Amino acid sequence: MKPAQYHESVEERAKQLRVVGRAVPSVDAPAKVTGRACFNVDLRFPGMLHAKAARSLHPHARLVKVDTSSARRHPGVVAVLTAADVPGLNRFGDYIADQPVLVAEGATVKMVGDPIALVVAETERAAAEAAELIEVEYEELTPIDDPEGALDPNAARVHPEHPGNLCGEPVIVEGGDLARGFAEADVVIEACYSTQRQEHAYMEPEAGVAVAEPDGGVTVYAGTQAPMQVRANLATAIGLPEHKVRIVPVTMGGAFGGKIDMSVHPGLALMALKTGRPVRWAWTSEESFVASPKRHPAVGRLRLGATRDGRITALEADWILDGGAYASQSPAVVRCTVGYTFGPYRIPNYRVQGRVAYTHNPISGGFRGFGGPQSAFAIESAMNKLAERLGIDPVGLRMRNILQQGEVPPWRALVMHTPVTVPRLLQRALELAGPAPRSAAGPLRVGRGLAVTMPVFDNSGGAVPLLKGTGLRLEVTGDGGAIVRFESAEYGEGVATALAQMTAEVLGIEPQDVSCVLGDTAAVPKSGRAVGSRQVYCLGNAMLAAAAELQERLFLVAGERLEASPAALMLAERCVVVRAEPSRRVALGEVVQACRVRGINTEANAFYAASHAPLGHTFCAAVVDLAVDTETGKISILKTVSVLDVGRVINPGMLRGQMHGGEIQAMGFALMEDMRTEDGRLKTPTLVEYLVPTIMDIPEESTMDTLELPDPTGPFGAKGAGEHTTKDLAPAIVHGIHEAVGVWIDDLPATPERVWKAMQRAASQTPKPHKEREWSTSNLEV
Amino acid sequence: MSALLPLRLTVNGRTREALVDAGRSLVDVLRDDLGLTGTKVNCRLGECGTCTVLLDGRNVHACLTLAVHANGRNVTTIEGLAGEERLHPIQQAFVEHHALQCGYCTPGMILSAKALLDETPRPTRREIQHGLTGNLCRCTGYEQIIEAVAAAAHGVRSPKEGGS
Amino acid sequence: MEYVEPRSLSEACDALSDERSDAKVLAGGVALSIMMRWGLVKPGRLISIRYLEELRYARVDNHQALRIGAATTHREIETSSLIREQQPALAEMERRLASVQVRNSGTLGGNLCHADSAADPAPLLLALDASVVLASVRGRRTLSLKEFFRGYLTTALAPDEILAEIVIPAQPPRSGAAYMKHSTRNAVDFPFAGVATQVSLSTDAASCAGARLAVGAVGPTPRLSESIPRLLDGRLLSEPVIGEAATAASLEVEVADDASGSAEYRRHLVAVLARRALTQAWERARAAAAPERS
Repeated sequence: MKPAQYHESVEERAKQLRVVGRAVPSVDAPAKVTGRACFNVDLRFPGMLHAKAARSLHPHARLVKVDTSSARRHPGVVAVLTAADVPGLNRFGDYIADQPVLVAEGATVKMVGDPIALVVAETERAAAEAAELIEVEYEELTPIDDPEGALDPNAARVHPEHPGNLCGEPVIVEGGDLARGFAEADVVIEACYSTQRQEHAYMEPEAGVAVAEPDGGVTVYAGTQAPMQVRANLATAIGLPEHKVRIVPVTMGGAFGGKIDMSVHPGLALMALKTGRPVRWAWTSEESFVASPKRHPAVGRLRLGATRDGRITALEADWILDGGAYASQSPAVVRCTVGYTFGPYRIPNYRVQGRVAYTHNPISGGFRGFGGPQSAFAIESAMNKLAERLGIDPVGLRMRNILQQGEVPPWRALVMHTPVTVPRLLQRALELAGPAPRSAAGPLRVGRGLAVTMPVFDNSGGAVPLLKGTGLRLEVTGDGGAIVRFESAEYGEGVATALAQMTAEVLGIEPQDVSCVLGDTAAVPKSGRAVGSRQVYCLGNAMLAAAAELQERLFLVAGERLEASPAALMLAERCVVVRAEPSRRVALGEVVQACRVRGINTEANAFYAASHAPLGHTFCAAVVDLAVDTETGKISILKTVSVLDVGRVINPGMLRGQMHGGEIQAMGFALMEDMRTEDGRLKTPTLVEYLVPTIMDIPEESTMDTLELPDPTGPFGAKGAGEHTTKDLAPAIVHGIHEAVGVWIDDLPATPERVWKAMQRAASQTPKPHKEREWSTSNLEV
Repeated sequence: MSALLPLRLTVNGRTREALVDAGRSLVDVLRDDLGLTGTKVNCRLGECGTCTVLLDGRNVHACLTLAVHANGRNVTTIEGLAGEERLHPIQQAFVEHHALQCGYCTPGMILSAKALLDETPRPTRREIQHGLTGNLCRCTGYEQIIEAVAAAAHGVRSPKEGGS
Repeated sequence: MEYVEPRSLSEACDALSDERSDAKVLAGGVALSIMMRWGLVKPGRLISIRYLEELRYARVDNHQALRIGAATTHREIETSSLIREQQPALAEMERRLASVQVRNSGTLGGNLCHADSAADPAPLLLALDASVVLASVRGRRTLSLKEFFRGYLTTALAPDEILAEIVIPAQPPRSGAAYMKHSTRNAVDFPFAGVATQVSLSTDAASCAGARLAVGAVGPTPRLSESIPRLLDGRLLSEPVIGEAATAASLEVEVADDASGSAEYRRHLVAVLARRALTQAWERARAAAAPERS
């Protein structure tokens, strides 16, 4: 059956789904609970050498002299590499190739942690000791650390070739008549929202091993979310033909968008080629903090106009993102920041601009939500403020402005082809949340907040056409099992499990009959990056296409064997079965063997190429109940409810994990996580200073629910789901704080001190009586 | 350079020996000298908990434990938990309850859970949280971890598949 | 680096007196491992007292003082039924210190010797009027904890001395103690501010017979409030009186803006925590007085 036909009968088939929709355990869970799973840091090769980088201590300085002579003499040292040892371009970057593998003598370092030299030694300790012996003479230069100032056309430049420190082009989305829109407005909410730098703090820092191959090529065993792009970038950066580079992504201890760019990869390849021996390079946690990309700090000035009865008339916004020293994913991230500023709302007149500034701060790049959490916080907070100003219920205000199926949102013109379920999600969330909390006597004030978002799931990580196709190879084995090969990476998102389930479903076998080969660039077709909540949708569609092709061949052979027309057959119970007479069947493995004898290919390649970059829309609603300690400003999250429409759920257990995990990252973003810098230097260099939520910080009660409206274009009706809860929780929390104590927090994170200070300021102004809101779902009917 | 110290300890029931520097941490001896890479390593500051092992039954950070302090003692790592045929009930519960994603915190998390359940066989939600404070997880949001530990404690099998 | 594991305290003192100045006494090794990892200390010799049974105990002596061996772990104190009964505030404080793993390795003695200004135990022990027993080949001496802390990461320990025992004197009749701390997260963090207090009541349980209050995590070293005894001793206790005293205690502390927060906020928090700690200690003192009055 062709995918299109499949979708036509999606509802019918849903009733018969055996494997899809079940909370089967992750395929890699047994290895991970026993310690057998091999992560990057666990790689051990015979005769392996160890590496350590000498990194810049300054955010901006010219390297006057790099003296490696003492390091070279240190016992155990095998090689010391500098920029002079990099044969290729010595630059890389997905959108702008501006990041050096190693900074050369005479050139300038642009951030603390820029690598200057690599030491390879017999032991990790010798490498570390020798790296300390590398003498670097710096001529310190003034760092540019303020993104707004950096965008001044006359500002000093981080990269000489980028005047005004503009990283990529400004992104402007405009339509309607802004002046008229604001003229029609009875009220205008004006606010400046700022969000902070957030660190992924994945539990496994970057690591890997490279091996020089006898043919002059190199194999790099190291995790990445984008194996094929790393292959291409690595080849140019170090001057190898791409066909001599093999990337084998190893299971990663977390990624969250922070492992899209190259990290250890080019350095490892250089060192292995130089020494001819396997080389291991594992970054310390501090190195990972200093050298890996973060979530962009962002400042957004917003004007939102509406009529007295709560109809939005105009939206204007200007975003400045701190890109740090190198472009990384910035040009794509800023598009999402601009896009998410629109929310799921009908806005007739608008102009939203976004710019990324180069600075000498740490690199900003991809991070789950990809620019969306910043602007979702802004627009949802502005909507909640608007509701307050107009004296309209925040639920009702949203209903008045929500987009409808068939409409085309301003950002990335893709018609909304599924029902816009935001009202239903919000209603469900409020029902699940139950009665709103009431403050008791004492210093704690409680409040309820809400927010909604409309995440797109994306084919390319921000509409920049890096790739728009998803290759996949499906093989049926002689014993009736299946192997699915695709570019991807396993970092906990569970792509292999989802693919095993979907493949088992369509082939009439069980998930344990399916193995996935992920990412090894020598073994898989190009399928695109593991980003943008795209994998289940794109790979699922590709798999269905491959399965349809295979099925046709299998049924041809099986039909002869069973003396039945191929159209009368189906795949079930590891057999090809005559639909009308299920006892007439032949084992799938036998059919495969028969195909082999007949010279019929039992492997199928599929290439799913969506015609549109954003693949579709999903919908989320969040309700948060919280308590503010009015004396300390500290927030306790009492209850969260998240309801998502992500189409058909492939694995509810894993989806729930994605939702809870995203929610706690968003809670960290809202309340505590803040990778602060001063003059380009990290003030929170370790997990001691950089606070990520512990198990004691989670909501007392957390409910997740889904509305399963199948998307007719998705595999089994599925849409993307990986990033969604990262967007709506922060504005819901800030709304809850306002409901509790009457102050708006426009700058994240809402740390205890910030909340307390906002309350102090409010108290010094005219106090207004605070009344608790009556929450009901009746406002939904507008 | 001072002489290396002979170390003799019991790891997962087996006597193991190594020669170590006095300043060497237990996590490095386990991972590099004894090849037991199931114990993870990250911050080396006692914050993340990925290196958690049991030392004489108590969960400790192997990164902040000098190897010499394990001399003559019993160390349990994640490799020592499962039987020949079957997973330990906590491991089984983690698998069934989707209590892991990337899996990097999982060995430490499971060992802290074991230390907790050995001391408090029927913990409340709050007690589970207290027992696992020293183990960061960046993927799961902890909720399914708490469910798995509770299920392991109460001998509960996974919820009926299919529901969310 | 050399490593020695003495079999007794006197052997440990001998080892430490061995004219080497770069020796470090090692208990749980938590702080020392971190200091060594950061290259802040490079001892030539480690003398481990972690497993010295002689230093791992909690007992009540003839004078009703609670005596705790220096190598007793935080977790042992937290779970000790004797301590939970004798000094519940101490067990509570330990339960909120860092994480289970740190509490299983770290020792009370090691924590005090590290003298981190943001440590949890110090303010409580100061409020409880604890003292420490220091041992060396020269003999033993007892110092009040107030004398023991000299400054940031600095104590009165002589190079050849080992902290052997922590002594918490018998608590006054009709008394209660409490420790309150503020941190951004609910676990693991060092306190941003910590306040501990002990309040005892007069025989009629109405007025304060004695009060001590110590502030931690603010300034270079934990310190006792001077104003609290002056303001509370002999006073009829009430919420306003306690509030006033708490504010006075907060005005005493030296605060400065730093990366983790402003001076203004820190001082405010000291006042809030002081009021909460005094209130809880007062409640506990009243509860302790209740049976004797009924």
